[in-house]
Amino acid sequence: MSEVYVITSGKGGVGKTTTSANIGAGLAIEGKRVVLVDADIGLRNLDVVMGLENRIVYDLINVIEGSCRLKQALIKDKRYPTLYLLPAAQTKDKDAVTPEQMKKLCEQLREDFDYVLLDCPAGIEQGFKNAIAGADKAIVVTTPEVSAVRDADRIIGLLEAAEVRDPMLILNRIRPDMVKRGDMMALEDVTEILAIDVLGVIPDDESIVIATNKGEPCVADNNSQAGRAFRDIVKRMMGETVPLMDLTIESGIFNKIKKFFVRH
Amino acid sequence: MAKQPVIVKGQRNGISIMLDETVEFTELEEALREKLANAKKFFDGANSAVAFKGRDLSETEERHLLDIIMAETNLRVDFVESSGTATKAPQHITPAPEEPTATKTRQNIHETAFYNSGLRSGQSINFHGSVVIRGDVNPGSEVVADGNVIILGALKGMAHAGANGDESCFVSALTLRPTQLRIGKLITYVPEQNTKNTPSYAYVRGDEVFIAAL
Repeated sequence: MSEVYVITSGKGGVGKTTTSANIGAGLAIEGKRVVLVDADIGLRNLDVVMGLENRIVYDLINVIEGSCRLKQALIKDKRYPTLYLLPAAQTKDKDAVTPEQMKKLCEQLREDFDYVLLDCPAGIEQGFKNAIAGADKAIVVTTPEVSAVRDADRIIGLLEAAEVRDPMLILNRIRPDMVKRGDMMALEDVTEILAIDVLGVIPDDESIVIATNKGEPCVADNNSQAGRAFRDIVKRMMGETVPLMDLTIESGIFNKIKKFFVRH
Repeated sequence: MAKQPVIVKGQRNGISIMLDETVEFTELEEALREKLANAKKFFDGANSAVAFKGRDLSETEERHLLDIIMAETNLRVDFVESSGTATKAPQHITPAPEEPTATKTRQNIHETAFYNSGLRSGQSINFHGSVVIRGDVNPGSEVVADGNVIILGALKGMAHAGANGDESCFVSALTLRPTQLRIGKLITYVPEQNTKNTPSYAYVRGDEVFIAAL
């Protein structure tokens, strides 16, 4: 049975695209047939993060307008044989698509894939409405900042109104040392406001920045703590029960030194 | 001499009115009116609680009797207790001096809307009566009611009670941490150190908003 997920946040820059790329790659590593759809028309990024920019010939708008077949626009990721990307158009804007067209597109993709992941643009306007139109489920990404949490709350309200049921939360870029000092919102503080199920917590990790810049999802990197967090998220999406990882272990100089020796 | 249908007694915590169970309600009304007219001076300008005893009254009947009390005396009724059963507090905590009657306020707010889920950022409720919400009212959301606002959850957004200017209305919540609070024409916020995690309510006295534990 295939599932259509929208990955959304409201606020920009919290890590929707990175999350989409990593979950997509993670599910593909597990052998699932996955298509990543970049719904951020006019500001496409997912192709860059995936390192597939130079292979784009046709895009989502071409498919919707009927100027190419769906199969022609899908880019196969050579690193993960079951992962495909449907890139957004860069020269158009959000109004080039209607929610009905997106719905139809999702129905088409659903036939060939186990997971359809829609990378939603920031904001609550047309682009957001398009992205959620065809989705059955939603993943809400937020960071532990009041502004991001406020926007996530707004998004959850809009998802409920649009009858996208039971959104799940990913708390991104958490810094356990700051949480410990009381300088950053903890997971509990965020869930107290948002009151939705937690899909995963991703630590603030340099390896994400490095991997993103290289166009390689860090989910495949066994040494990356964030990569491990994404692998756990993928397992939870596949129905496994994986406890939230204990982030506090990794902080402190002693542990860093220990980690250094273990790794090398 | 036949048993009097209405007996008015002054007691330590208010006035108790004994009502005969056997007579017609209209007769009862008439008897009460007569009784009060004779004792008008006695009740002049006093604040008091009123207890009806000896007979089960429907809400309309009770209101009729209260109307008679209002009409015949200058008594300010703070509190009404019916036939030994449940205690009903009137809509406001303390009657404002200009509008002393409990029943008047009660009639103004005759409708209440119940909401079975909380409010998230960007959502709002606007109602011409009182509002009861089961759930949290999150930051960035608004509740605007002409009557009272009662939140069975945490209030972290904006709440406006008595939106048409009625300052006798209140806002209550299990956790009272609003971003902003409005009652009637008053606009205020609750300083961090005054926020309470225990069930509380906010009300207006004079020109100020007060917060008290429920």
